[in-house]
Amino acid sequence: MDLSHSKYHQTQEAISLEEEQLRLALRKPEAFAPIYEKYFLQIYRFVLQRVGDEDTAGDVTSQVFAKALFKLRDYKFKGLPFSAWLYRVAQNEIGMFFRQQNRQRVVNVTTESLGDMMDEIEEDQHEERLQMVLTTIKKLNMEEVELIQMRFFEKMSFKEIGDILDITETNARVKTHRVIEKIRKLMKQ
Amino acid sequence: MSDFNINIDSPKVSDEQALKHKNFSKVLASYKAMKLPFYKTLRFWLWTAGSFTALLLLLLFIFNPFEKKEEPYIHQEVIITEPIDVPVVEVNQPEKEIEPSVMITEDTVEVVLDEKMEKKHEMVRDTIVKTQVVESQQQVAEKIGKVIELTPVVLVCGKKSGEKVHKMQLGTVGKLTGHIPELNEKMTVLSFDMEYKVRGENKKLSSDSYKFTKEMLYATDDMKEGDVVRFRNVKCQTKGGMIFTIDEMSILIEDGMTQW
Repeated sequence: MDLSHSKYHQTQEAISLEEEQLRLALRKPEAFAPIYEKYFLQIYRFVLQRVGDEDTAGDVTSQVFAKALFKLRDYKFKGLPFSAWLYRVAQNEIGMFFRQQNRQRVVNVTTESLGDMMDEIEEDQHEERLQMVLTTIKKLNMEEVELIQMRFFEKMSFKEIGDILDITETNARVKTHRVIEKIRKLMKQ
Repeated sequence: MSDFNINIDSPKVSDEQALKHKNFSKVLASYKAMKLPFYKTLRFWLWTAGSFTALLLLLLFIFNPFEKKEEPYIHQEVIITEPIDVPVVEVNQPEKEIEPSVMITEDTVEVVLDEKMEKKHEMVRDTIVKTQVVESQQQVAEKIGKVIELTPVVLVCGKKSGEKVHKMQLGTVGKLTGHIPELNEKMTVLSFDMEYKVRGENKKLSSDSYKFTKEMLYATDDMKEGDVVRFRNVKCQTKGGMIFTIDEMSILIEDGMTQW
């Protein structure tokens, strides 16, 4: 389930308009509505990918936007796209949700996206090998799962991943590559 | 190993389905319910600043570093303005023409010679200048071959002659003390007379010790600001038994709210 409708790459004009809307929202919370309209779907899907339940995803998404509005003063207009900052807030809220509810995190994958990952690992896409990949993914830690989920299942760019995880684009690329290497090694064992 | 579920090919949620969960009013309600943690509020910082200031003021009040410490009056130096008779110790002078002036400080004896005498008495000076004053007045006088003039001093409640003494102080802890600055030696006051004027009438009271008598203490009640109290025939004795008599000294009475 890719986030192809992502509004990550915007024109300078759109960015300026967004900044103006955010400044207005600082003074008047109701002015946050256009931002909510603009980013609701992608944040909702981001949350849904991790909580796995539509109603829960709706509640958590509302909480994400409320928290973003509450902490809007902390957001600095210094190159980091607002959507990346929203994703960070969403990640924190999802983490908090799992800690409070004591529920298991979900990783939604499609056969198609798994196939893309198999290509990267240079493995045959046999049913047997697909099951093996899934078993191997279960052996990864949460940070590694987050990386492959963003890269292969949500089709995010390394720049986007870097911004969300607060690391550089190169670092995101290197880390993802290491996870692929790890999966490859685990599958050979 | 991480603890999570992997869902494969779960049904895709359409935009229409997703948009059903869009509710900006809910976002605003959640936003309004959020509160800053107490330590981030202005109230916390005002409270902290107020508490800190109060604590600081309390400490300043208890340990006031700006308060002036009163010097204990018994240590004040006093100089008698009127000349007094003091005993003179004479020793044999080796040569008449040698007349060095002498200065005795706490630790050393210094002999100052004029230019003409400088060469002649070079040897004498070298041996005497650095001599420690550890000997008695007479021994020192013998060594330097010179008369030493002593100026005994008497203090009333720690105040020298001509100074003001508060009448409350005089009426509660009235006493006389004496010392010889040249020898850095204390003296015991044996007796003294106190003379003062009340309503134009001269009064005289006597004491046989260093302390004020009861009559003297009561007499201070009638004294007023600016009154002059004279102390005559003050007899003092050194540890060595030498007795000095100081003819007269006087103090001015101070009255009012001044702290003594």
